[in-house]
Amino acid sequence: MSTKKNWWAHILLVFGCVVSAFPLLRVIGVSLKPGDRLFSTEMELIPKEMTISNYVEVFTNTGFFTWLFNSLVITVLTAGIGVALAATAAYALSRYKFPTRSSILIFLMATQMIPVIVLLLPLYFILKRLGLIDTYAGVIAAYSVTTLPFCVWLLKGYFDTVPLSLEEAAQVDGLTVVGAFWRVVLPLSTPSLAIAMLFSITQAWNEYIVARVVLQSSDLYTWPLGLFELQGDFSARWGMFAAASVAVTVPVMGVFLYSSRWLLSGLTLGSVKG
Amino acid sequence: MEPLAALAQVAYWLVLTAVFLGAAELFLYVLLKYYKVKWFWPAQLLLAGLAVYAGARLLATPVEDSTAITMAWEQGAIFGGVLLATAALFKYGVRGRWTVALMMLAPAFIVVSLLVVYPFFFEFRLAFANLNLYTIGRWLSGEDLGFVGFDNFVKVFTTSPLQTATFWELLGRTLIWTGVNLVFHVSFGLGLALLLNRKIRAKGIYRTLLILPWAIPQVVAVLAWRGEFHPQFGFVNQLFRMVGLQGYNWWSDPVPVFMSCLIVNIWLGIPFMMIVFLGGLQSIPNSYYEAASIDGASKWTQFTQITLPMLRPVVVPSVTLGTIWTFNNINVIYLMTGQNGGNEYADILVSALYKSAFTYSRYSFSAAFALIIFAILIAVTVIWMKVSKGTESVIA
Repeated sequence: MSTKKNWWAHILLVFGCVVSAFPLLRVIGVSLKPGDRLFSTEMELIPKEMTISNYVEVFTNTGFFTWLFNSLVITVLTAGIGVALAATAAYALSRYKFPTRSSILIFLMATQMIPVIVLLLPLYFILKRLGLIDTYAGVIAAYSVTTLPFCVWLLKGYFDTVPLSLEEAAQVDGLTVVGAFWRVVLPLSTPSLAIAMLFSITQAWNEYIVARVVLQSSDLYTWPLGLFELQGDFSARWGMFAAASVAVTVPVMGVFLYSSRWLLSGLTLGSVKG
Repeated sequence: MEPLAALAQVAYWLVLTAVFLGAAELFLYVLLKYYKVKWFWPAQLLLAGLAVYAGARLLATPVEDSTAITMAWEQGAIFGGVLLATAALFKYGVRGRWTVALMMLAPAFIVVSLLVVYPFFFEFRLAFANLNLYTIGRWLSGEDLGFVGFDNFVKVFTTSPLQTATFWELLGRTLIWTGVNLVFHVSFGLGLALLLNRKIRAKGIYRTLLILPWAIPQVVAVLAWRGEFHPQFGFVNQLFRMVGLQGYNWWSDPVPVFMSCLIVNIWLGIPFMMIVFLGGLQSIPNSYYEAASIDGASKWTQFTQITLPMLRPVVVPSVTLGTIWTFNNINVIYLMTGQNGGNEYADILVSALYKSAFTYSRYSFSAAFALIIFAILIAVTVIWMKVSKGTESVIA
């Protein structure tokens, strides 16, 4: 196939790229516009008078860094707890053929098909009863509803691919079953643990709907809640919304583009929820 | 609450959870090791008694005057009963086997039970009660939930879960939403994947740019799109005006509102399908095509006879995933329409559930509604599994 025949493919691809990149470019453009220019109906992407005043405003006059801090705490704890609890369970499910094993696996898969929203209402009341509404702990518990079964499922798939002979060799050399898991299987599965971690992180970091219900005081807002607040009164703070969006998106996008390859290999290994 | 106080509190809960899980592991160890000793049942009964009290005390209604605390005996009894049942299971069923496996499984099992299984049963309880904005206060101060039979289930079909949209409208819209989204995701995803699979220059740059909608946090993407659909200042209507058309009122007219949600979600979902299909295409050996072209097969024949059949193992799981994601997608619709002065022109089942529970505070009604949605999901999943047999390979 000669490359000359590909001009129409290039046209289509360029068009696709423009459509997919356009909203982000617009947001960057708006974030750099001075406040009084936001509602002009000019369509230029790069504003004629550029200013970083929107960024300064967001960083100094809103809870931007508090939101980031809250998101960070919640994300790190959700991912950590999820992976720590999931690793041992996934190993047991992968290595031991005890009765009810397959029903547990089917149950775990079923939980992936049910949206968290179906369980959110009873969970809300349980959290309320325990005094966990409007706390980090409440959000982390609510996020674990999805991330924990999901991590178990994901890690089980990976442990299945670790050859059993390695642990047998370790046990011959005097390690206990738990020792072999800790010293041999876990170090070998670092990449898969990282993927499970990354999945939980993206899930918790970008979540909006559950956080909206569980978190009520603005001091505990995660960044999606804060962003929504900024965009809520569209007229006044559109520029600040855009600046905050760019500040949040660029690092996340970097991580995502860098890791998308591995994320995808994880997806095909039997995980269901995104 | 201040972030620092919240941090201290989350640490407290982490320690509490760790202690609880540790105690559970210890309990399990005793069950596995000493299931044959004589004092098994007396010890278990004593423990269950303690558990009933501890459970009732822990879940007791917090009231400022500590003498007026209403103990949650119901929940305590469930806790104690679970302990006794576990003990019986381990004494007569497990009999000390699979020690390592069960102890490794236990922490995740307990947490999932508390976070998924218990709420699920509690949802049933709620669905048969009459809990709403007016009765919630009484329930929180210790009154019983009450029982109204199947009233809530009947109401889901006879009254609107929102303000005017009926259950059947929502169901129909959900089907349209899922169908339209999937058709566009799959066709555009496949098209772009085929283009990217050619020997073409700057492939990496195209791939990176095309994946952007997936890489941007969804909240940012949807809110940005919402701005672009602003009737006056948004880009979409400016484009319409540039070619001399009126444009639509994307924020408040029924059909345009739903259209805008569809457009945004189609835009969001294409990259996933594209990447999955691209992976599938790259795994098809080139020699198949070479052999086919030597035999004189046209490009189209090659596409239908080689490409499509070879893609099947990739298409089936990704379409399954896509269907579930789209059916359950609440982010796009809520963020596009759920704000102050929002409307219900684009609501599908799950977003209506969210609004009826947390915007309109019809708790028991929403619990019944949730169970009905759950039943629909299960039915669809079971049928789909029968058709595609897609799960067997994963479980085996």
